[in-house]
Amino acid sequence: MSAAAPLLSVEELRTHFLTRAGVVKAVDGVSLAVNRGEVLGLVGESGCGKSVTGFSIMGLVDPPGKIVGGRILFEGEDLTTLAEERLRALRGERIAMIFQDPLMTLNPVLRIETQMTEAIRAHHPDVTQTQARARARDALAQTGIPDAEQRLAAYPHQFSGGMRQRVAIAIALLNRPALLIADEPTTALDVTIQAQILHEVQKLCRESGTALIWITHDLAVVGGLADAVAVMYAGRIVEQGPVDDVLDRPLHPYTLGLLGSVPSRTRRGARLPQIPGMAPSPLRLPDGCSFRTRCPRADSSCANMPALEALLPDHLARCVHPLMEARP
Amino acid sequence: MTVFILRRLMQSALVLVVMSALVFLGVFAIGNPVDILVSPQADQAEIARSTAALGLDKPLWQQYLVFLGNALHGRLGNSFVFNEPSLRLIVERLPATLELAFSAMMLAVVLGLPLGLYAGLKPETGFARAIGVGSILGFSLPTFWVGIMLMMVFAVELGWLPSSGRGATVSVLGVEVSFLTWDGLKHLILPAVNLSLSRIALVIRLAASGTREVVHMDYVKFARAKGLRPRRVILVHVLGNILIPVVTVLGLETGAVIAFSVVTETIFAWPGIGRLIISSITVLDRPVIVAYLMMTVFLVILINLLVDILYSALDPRVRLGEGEARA
Amino acid sequence: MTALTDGTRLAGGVAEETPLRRFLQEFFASRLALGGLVILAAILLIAIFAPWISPQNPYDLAALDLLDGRLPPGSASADRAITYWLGTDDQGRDMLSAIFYGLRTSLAVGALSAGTALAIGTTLGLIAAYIGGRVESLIMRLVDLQLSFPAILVALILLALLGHGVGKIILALVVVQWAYFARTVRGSALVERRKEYVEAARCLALSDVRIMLHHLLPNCLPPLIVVLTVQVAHAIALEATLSFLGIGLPITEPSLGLLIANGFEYMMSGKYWISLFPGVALLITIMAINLVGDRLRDVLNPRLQT
Repeated sequence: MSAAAPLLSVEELRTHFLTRAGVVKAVDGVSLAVNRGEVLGLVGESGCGKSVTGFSIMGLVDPPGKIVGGRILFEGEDLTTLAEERLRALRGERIAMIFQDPLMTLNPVLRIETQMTEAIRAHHPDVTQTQARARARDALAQTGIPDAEQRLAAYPHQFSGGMRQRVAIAIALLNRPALLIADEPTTALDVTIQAQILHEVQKLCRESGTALIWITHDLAVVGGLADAVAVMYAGRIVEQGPVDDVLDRPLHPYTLGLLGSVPSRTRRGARLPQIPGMAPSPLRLPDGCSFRTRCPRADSSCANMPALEALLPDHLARCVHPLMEARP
Repeated sequence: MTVFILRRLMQSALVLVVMSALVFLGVFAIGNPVDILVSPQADQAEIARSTAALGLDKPLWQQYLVFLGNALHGRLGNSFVFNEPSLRLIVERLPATLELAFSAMMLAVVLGLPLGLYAGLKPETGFARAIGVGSILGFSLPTFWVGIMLMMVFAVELGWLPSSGRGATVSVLGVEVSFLTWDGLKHLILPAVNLSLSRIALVIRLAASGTREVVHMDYVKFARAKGLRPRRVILVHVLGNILIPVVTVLGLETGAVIAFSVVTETIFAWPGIGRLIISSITVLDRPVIVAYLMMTVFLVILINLLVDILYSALDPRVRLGEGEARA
Repeated sequence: MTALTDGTRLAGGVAEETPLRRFLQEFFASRLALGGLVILAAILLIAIFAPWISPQNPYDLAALDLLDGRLPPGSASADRAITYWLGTDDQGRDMLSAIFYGLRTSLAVGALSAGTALAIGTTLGLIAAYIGGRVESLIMRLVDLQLSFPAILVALILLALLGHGVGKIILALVVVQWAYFARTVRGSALVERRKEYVEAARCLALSDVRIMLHHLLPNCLPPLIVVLTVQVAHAIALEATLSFLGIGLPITEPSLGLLIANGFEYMMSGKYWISLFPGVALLITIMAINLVGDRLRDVLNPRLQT
């Protein structure tokens, strides 16, 4: 880990949704840090709050959701206190985001060219349309799309899913942001395309020095891609550390469960281990450790919420009974 | 695209034929066709001559062909009342009706779209709710009653605007239009407002519900994630997507507006085809009734066809075909 | 999928609420809709009990006194027997009573025509969805043809050819409306027909009629109810418009449209009440129905559920 200040530092972020049925604590005390050029994998199952974390950083949480606590420090500014106009200036310029379903991410009635050049000119009004167009074309070519010149004039529905996602990535990286947040960008794509997109993103980020937060529920993806991993459960980070440490020597029982359920890691023919039970409803979180209703190691002391602590150097976990036993 | 147009053209022609058959059947099946198409004041010789000319002594299907042939040549009988070819009467009055109809539609778009957009973007505000209730009020108001009230308030009580008739006209490309003169405009305002009210309500509701749906779409969020200014997000990304359904519905409604102008024209004594048909029905001037029906049916079919073509031109997904994806 | 949940979906949550209760709760959450329903109930009562609560029977020529014609609101009759709360028209009719009777006619014509159109449209829609094939094609072509023409135009055509009479008006209104019902029902029934339990029912050789009525129909009810309210309002407005134009109900029948037409000629001389009050009554009726229908549509629309 570098000694310089991290690019992004999220501290005790809380994002709650005030719905008619009650308060949904989608993100309830998340702290993480990303350094320049680093790749962080944010892993968790559906509904754990990882996407909301991404939206919170971007300032795109819509009512009835609201950031109710914590700080998000980015390049020296606290994003939670900024005015909307300043946030807008940062979005797409210093921090970018891509979403899961590329079909719905691109506006069906606008040409690709328009959707790309507007991203440039929103932040650099002095750039002419022709210049912006040239930059857009180059960006498309860089993501591996052939015939970039023709593609500019096309509409989103004329592309396949993988291509659309490449376009979205190209748009996100147009202004060379310092941070890219990718919210499950390959979940909706074929497995073969997934690998390609992964590779593209990795390459592009390394080339431009862009830090990357890759949000996913798929641990296998994280293994090859990330420098660091943070595991989320029910709105909180339960384990965090360098990717090799977390994947080879998980401290939290939930992480172990997740790893165990990855098919490639099980012996052939053996039963796929499952984590018993279901994730709790965000409206009714249990007291203390949220995982204790499903944890084989839980006991009465788990009724007190453990803090996220560095149980090993640079390796944090939020657990009363972490897996600290010696392992091969 | 051309295939599409051709196909629609053929469909429209077919519908036109079917409707003409219906009108024909309706006219001829309900009574002695002689009574219908020949003036009651005609004498025996006249009746005999008309019978032969209109082919009324031939079998029904032949009569239909004669009718169709005559229709295509613009011969739809002479008006009993005016003693002129009924089609000519209709065509003379058509510009007035079209002017009224288009003014009403223009008002509907100019007023309805921004209001609906606003109501869709901020649905919880008092103003938006007021717009919502106002739009329900708008299409609950019976057009004819509103017309009377408008006339009473603005023409009778306040005396600001004239209460009837069409103002001075100017000839543009051989067609008389009145909105280019101040006097014409004054006469146009009340009837146009009257006719447009329920359309404004319709556009507001369409725009509001469309906006409400579109605003939650991923592409709007992505546009914001790009850091676009809110104005651009709304005017380009949101508006662009609701414009298509709004325009198509509006286009289809144009036919209804033309038909509905009968009411406004009656109240404001606007010299269009609507006024003509009502008086013709009252005095049973059947050739005019038939000519009006054929003309309006034709117009409606034409408008529907144009709207279809417009829709396919506007929506790139339809224009360029789905499923042209390349890997 | 980590789609942003709105949190109202509970994992194993409160299931005691029946759909009906939830529907009622949501419906009445809007005060406007509640108001509309109350007004509607009041109008219904007025319409039903009109002969008993009207001060005068305005269509009994013997009861009218021509000398009482065109009196402003609040005046008393010549023989001081009744007060004309809303004035009189040129025949000496008490406007209040005329409005009560007129509402009766409007509601009756509106409900009758919409109801008949509902029956016809639903039947055809169900048949189209269930049988499919050429029958469905034919029915839907008819529907499209019908719907591509403005309602008032179709009504005009029919009435121009058929002439006057209550029956003919209702017929015209039915012809104008059936297609909306048919299209709605067919749409919903199609969705239901594709479900597996309908296949199962067919395998069990249940009669077609039974399947259509017991299985397909209930699924179509929500949108059907919405369309029904809208159509009743339409029918009432259309009848009034046609009567106003002089091609609707004959003058002997009480109709709000005719009353308004009557009052039109007195506008210039400032006798506004003859047109104003029937119009307001008409407006309130239509508005109440539309408020209720609008709320129904919002509550029953799955896509706008948050």
